[in-house]
Amino acid sequence: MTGRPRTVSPMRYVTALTGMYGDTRLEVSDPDSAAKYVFDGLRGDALVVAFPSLGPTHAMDPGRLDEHGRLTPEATSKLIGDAHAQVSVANGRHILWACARAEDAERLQELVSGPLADLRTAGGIVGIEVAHLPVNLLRRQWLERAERGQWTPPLGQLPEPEDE
Amino acid sequence: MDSPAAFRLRATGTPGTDTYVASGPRGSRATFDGFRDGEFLFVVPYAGLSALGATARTEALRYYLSIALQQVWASAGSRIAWLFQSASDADVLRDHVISLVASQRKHFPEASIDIRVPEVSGLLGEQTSPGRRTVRAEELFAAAGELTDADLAPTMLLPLGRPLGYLDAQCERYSVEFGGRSRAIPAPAARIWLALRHRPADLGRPLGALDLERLPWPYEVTREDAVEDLTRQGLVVQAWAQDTTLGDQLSRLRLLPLRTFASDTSSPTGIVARARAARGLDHATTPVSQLIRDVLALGPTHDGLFDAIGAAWVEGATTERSTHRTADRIAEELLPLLAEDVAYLDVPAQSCAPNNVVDPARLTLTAGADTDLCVLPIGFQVDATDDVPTMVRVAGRPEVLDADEGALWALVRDLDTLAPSGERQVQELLAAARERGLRNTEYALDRLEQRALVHRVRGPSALQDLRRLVFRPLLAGLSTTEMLSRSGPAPLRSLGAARDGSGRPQHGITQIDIVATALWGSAGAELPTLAHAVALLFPPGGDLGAVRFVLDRIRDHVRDGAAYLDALEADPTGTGATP
Repeated sequence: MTGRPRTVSPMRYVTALTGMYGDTRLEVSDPDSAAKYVFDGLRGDALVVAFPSLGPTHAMDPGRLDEHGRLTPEATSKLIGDAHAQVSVANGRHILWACARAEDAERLQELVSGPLADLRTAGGIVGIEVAHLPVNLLRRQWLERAERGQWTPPLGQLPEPEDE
Repeated sequence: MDSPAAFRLRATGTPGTDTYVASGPRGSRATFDGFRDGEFLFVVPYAGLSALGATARTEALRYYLSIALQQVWASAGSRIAWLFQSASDADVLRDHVISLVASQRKHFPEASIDIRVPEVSGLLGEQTSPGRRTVRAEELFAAAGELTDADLAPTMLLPLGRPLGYLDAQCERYSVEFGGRSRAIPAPAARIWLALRHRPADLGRPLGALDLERLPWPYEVTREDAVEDLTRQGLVVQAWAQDTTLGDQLSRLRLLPLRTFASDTSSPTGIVARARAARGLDHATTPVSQLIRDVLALGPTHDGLFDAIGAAWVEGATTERSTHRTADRIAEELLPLLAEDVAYLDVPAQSCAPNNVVDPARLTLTAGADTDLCVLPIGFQVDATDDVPTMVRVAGRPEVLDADEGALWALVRDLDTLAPSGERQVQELLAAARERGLRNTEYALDRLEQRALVHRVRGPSALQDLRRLVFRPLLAGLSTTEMLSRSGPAPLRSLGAARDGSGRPQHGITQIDIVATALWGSAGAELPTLAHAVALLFPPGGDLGAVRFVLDRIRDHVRDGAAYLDALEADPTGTGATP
């Protein structure tokens, strides 16, 4: 089957990324201020922000893209604000924007390389990495762990496999 | 006793800024101090519960049990561990918490709260939770104390092999020499291999699998598949960071030099490794320590880093008696050295399975004064079509051969005998080429000589000729044993056996004599050329008989699969010494 892939459940995508299931998030505070930001979890040493899709994720969600597939001005503004907040509390730690869709990763990479490029050059700040981490890749990682007898989240909590 | 914050960090590895917040059914909400392998961690700092009066203790119990209830619901029955700073506090709460969890199993059958009292001393020991499963302290304290990124990365990936460079202008294939063989890897695998080699210098630690996900990746094949491909070829080793140190991981590998060394007063250590022209970085230098210089120089003659360290200690290059500590010191310096192409890692000599080794056994030498001594084919064959070499690797760079050049290079390699005297060497070569229908042989021979792919060793200038050649060992000196004789014990140094592609022993043990010792010594960084090997044995400008004797020994060792010949072009003086 071809065509647009099915919508990825945000919660399940977070589980696939971080191993955390249920509605669990990672709240990181800035030790020098009262600022906080809620990340989706940790992946290795990276603070994760999950982007299962920039498009609508449910019926009431307008999504973050316009009819041409570009980030809307509102979404761009929100993402830039979020990015600054994330980098501020991360205090030099890695931040990973994980995208289930390659085209979403490209759009976010343009944002990170463009309006957010200054975050990379600020002293001591690693900045934001954008990665395309498709569902099938993440599923395969967990399944391989399961085959090796290592811990995994309940495999039923992972997103459904996508058609390649 | 640790402060609560310090205990939290030591027990969970979670930075003080981080809190896990779980939300569950019926508006339940709970915070946790860590999350590891599907288990939520909750730290209970010292509370002195056993010393409380009855009323206060009841209040405390109510407080902690309300937390436990929220956690069970908010985590939807996930596994939870409570990590107590005080065993007496754990004793007070254990039965109550267990009872509460049991009462919630009708909602969450898998719910559990494990009560543990981690011992905060002895990170490498084992820690037993009273009445619970035994867990390794590393599990609990992986990030305790000195938390590093490497602690958090589950694996570290080390690149093995000697970088040779891309094989085509489109950068679609990259060549790595490893275990005595050159291997062409596709661009995705090359990107990962090069990242593993170069990026750790910036990070200060080896890359883990998760780091690779941040690599720009325009390829269809996944990163994982590329890593698997590299692992299958032996070009990447994966190690668990928590299980061992980097130094231990290196123990079974050979650390080999890619550069020569020189003194340089501008360097903090006074020693620098010098880049070769093959990389296009002539005169580029990298400061190295005396220890690294010594261990690298010993690398070719020893069958692993620990052996080389042992030899360095015997020679007084290090006073540290612990091989492991020395290896760790070297590991600290290693990552920048890999990134700067000062050194590379290879399998032990015993595991080498050399291919396409030039066999000078088929060349006949002559001691005629003003004539050719021999014609030597230089380098590794990297690729071939229909048994005709299309690419060889010399001095770290791939050289493409056209059909005429490839056929002639192979002929030089394979010819059984050459004429025993005078210019007939070349004449015989050309005659043999004509017999086999090769075309443009003179032009092809000239091209090969110009490109240093074939080397003609001439009589009077033999030593100068040999300055351009390098003896590259594929086997190390494995052991020194003592043979008892009537005159007393005599040392017998011996080489290990190479293995062919199927793993069968290819060659037996070879005794090393004084010539071989000099040859292997010339493979180190200090005396990099064959001319040095000869000069070690005989007076400079020595007679041709001596040169011929050395070439004979080279022939023996190359025939044994213990070495091959390479070209060194960067150092016009051929000395590799301090200017």
